[in-house]
Amino acid sequence: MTKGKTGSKAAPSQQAGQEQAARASDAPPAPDPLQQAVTQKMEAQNVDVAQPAPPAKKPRKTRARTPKSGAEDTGENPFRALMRRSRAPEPATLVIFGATGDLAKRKLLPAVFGLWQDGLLGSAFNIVGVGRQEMTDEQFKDFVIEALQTSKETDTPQPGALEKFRDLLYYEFGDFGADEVYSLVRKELDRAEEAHGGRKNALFYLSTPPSLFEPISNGLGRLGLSDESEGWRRIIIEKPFGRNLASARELNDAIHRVWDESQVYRIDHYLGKETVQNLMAIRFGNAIFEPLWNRSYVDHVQITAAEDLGLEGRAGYYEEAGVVRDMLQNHLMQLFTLTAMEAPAAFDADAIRDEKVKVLRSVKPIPVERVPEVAVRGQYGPGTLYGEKVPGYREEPGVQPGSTTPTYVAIKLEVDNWRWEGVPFFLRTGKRLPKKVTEIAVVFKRPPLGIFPGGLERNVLAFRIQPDEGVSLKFSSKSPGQEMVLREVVMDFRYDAFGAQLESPYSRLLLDAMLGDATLFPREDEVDHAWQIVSGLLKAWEGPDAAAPDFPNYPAGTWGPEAADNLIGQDRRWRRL
Amino acid sequence: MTQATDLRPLGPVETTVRRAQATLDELWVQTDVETRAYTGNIIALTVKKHLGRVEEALAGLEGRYAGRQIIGVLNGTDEVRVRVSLVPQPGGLYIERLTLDASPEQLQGAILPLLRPATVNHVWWGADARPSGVLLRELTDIADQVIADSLTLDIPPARHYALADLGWSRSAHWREALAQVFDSPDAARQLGQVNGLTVRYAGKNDLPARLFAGWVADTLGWPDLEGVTFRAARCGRENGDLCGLELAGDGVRFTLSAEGEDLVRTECHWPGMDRVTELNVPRMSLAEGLARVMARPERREVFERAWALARASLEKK
Repeated sequence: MTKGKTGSKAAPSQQAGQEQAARASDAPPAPDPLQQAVTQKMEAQNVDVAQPAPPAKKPRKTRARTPKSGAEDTGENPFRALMRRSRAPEPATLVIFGATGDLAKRKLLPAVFGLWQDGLLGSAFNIVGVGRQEMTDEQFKDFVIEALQTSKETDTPQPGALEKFRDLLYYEFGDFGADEVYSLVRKELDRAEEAHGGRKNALFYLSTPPSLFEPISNGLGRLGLSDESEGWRRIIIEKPFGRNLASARELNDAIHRVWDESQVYRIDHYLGKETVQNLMAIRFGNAIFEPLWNRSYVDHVQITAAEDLGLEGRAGYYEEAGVVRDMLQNHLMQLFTLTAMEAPAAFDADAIRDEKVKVLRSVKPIPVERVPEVAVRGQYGPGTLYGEKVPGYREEPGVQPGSTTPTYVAIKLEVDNWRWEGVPFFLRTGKRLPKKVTEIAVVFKRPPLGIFPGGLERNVLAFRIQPDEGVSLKFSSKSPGQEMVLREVVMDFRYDAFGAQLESPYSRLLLDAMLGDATLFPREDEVDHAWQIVSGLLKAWEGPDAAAPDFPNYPAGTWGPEAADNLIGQDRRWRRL
Repeated sequence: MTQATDLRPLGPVETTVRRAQATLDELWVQTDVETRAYTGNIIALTVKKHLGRVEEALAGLEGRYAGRQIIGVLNGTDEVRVRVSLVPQPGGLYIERLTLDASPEQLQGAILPLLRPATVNHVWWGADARPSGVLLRELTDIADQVIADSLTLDIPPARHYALADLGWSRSAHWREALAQVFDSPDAARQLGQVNGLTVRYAGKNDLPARLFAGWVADTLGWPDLEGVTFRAARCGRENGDLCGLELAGDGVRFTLSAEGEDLVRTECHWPGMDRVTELNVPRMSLAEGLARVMARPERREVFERAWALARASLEKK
């Protein structure tokens, strides 16, 4: 692959300032371009301070509902007709902000390497790591190779593959609040274009603390890097997207001052999991399930995401976030929408996301007054797990002794639509539960009449997201013997019967973003509605009038507080997983 | 994803057709594996001369395509000899393998009861001679897919099974590479100017190149392979593998050339554009080729239309 770095490590601050001033002078509403440029430059001295984005220049273009005229000359590729793979990514540069962070090291870089080694990243592809840490290209290359060699998620490298991959890597560093670093990124895109003769396509991955989302987005905007006239530009934003409804909306507004919604990819790695996608495949690729998938046959649905781990050194983040922001508002809400949504008109981003939004809109609101009735929170105390004593949450390093941060939540969602009226969805998630398991269980109604001795059991169709990925159906069968005694049995499909290792969810999502397929990325209105649903919980539990919780209320290594059993109601119980 | 396995193989154990399932169950008991991959059957028909190669290819085939492999060795007598084994796979899985030596007539009576029911059946004709007789008829009746060297053996596509060809599979990465060149809309807009194709192939076997050319011609709406030139070349790849191709026409030229073991250099020229890139086009092992056709990555009509053009070009040869 052709290489040759044309840019220099020296910060071109003067040039950047001139460019910025020039751009500012182009902006029609700016009263005093020079003063604006000076002000921006001065503000840029403050590390991590969100700098203003350029003024909105164009109307939102997000969704074209009809084809453009003259669409026949779109440059469609006839060789892709009837191929399974609809296209490969165009030549592009992946720019990872926070490239030396934990997520990049453990997940992103192995995922990118796997895609590249499998030949899925097209013909001309580069990675530019961006960080605040000073580092040369060579040091960054060493860092990445070591990360790939130590991560458990790295595919076995083919002979010579790591060396070739090393050639794709570049690094830039600087202050994310200033312009220099974005100017260097722009030079990297120029260099890639020069090397490959393609366009300056770029995917910006914000693998940074949330406080940097806005400064980076603004910085890219100030330097014109969101402009798509020279190639597509997309931005991936990690969770959490905001810390409540108001801040999520503020962040969304800030992002949209720079980016069109069609350029924004909010990542929720749960959607990249094979088994989550399999939920749609099983629902909409078979004829036998959908007729049963409604209030006539379903008694209730349980969605569980249990973690056995405690904080694992993330006390700082978790004390701020808590379980509602960490798991419920994003991962569990996504599983819920995929379970409850109607069949989409097509398997494409807008059709699927439209249906998911419809479900979220149909959820009965949970104002503060309803919270005690529909939600339970918990925090683990000391206990035992896997034969070892483990500390309580408040004893974890970095946690306040009197912390009221919840580590467990169970919630009952009611969906006010024709399909689900009267069918509760119970969602639960927590830390330090007895095992790591994520599952969606559709619990069917009992048969209307019992003609056999003994009680009647409910059928359960369970989707195991992790571990032991698969699907099982529980039903009753006659036990061998002279009596007509029924016993529950399970018909089990395990995903590993395919004999293939499951790909990292990050690799699937990265590839989709490179291809411009946003199907598996939550749209702005999904995120907004999800925040609306949990807002009552946050107010009730964190607001100024919030009652002090009786924490800890479940020992580590148990299935959560007793109140969760009351939440699910009589004649029902949480799945024993 | 590449993963190793440290499981040991179990068997082979001599048994009979009637006891084959019970013998397999005894082998399963020796494993700690609960999951059995009932994903399909592959019936590989071959002769002793090719048995080693067939076994090697099947060993590299992941269980996702066929949890049971039945190898029928056609040189046998009227006495059916059956050996069963469990072949380890990555991820702690085993695949069931049954090897049967018998005459073709006896094989027909032996193979059919050993098929795991209600799954997908792949029939792989891994022999040089053209298949015939009751064995092939019965197997193609139950087959969802027949894999064969279709141009040499002259097995035409049929309505009740999907025909697949390993020669077609061998050029899969080249098809992907060519498609990638035209994923860029500016390149795709030049395709109207293209009026000729040159395909270079290693060794003497031009059949995979003809299938490839058939696909290109069909995609571009050419009625036949008149505009295609086939050239034998040396590029260090195996007999029959592609070495390169060139699509050319009025002021435009798109060239793909093998470089080294895994790389292909692409050059695109049209007025105002000179684009050079490199693509990963790794060679495909027999097992990878088998896995690919069994995954059925393209709709059958894609292959069948390419096959028809390639077949017609052979008749004119």
